[in-house]
Amino acid sequence: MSSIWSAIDIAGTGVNVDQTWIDTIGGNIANMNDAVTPGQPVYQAQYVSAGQLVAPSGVLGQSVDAGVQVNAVVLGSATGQMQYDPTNPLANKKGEVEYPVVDLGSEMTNLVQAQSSYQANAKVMSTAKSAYEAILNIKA
Amino acid sequence: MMIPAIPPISSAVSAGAVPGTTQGASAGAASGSFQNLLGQAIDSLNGVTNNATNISLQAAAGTATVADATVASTVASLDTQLASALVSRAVASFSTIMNMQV
Repeated sequence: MSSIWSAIDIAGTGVNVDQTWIDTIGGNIANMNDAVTPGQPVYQAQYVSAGQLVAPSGVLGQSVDAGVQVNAVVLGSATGQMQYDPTNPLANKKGEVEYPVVDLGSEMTNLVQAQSSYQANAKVMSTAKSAYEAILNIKA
Repeated sequence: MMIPAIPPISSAVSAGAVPGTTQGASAGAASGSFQNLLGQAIDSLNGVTNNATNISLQAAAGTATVADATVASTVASLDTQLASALVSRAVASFSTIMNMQV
């Protein structure tokens, strides 16, 4: 997507990446209590790996940043943490239940960070729109 | 909503040529004329606006993100304002010439 309103497009890519980030955090928090019997596949936390998106050539013919993109969604530990809970119907013979490795504290921190980043990108979009409108509204 | 592009006025595009005699040969020279530029701009603007409509529908259906719809509608709005500004400037310059005292 290349248009002359590149600042808005760039901010849009940022908002989309932040949206993915918030989605993964939501998935992690929603699944943090998914207990399984040890040996069964346990929920793996999702982490977004983002990187810059380079456009082949910008308006001025130079290679400029076209924004940010999600390079990959990296999965966390495949082996969960054991908890001793013999009354749980999912417990094995040793009375252990396996829970996913999701740190609620760091997830909440990431959520605050993702929200701020989302708002920052939205602010860039709104400011760029105001700037573009300012140049369009100049009366001859 | 599809707005067809305004076709160029073929009798007026050949600047300096005698009307009615060289209309076929003036097609290449007319590619930069104001009519053609305006037609292309309206075509492009139409495409941008349709794109914004489609992405808004996709966002409502859940297949596109709200950010995509916001970006598309903002770009469509800015493109419309740009086209409107360009037409206003062109008409103003035309009026300036036409109001010249002779």
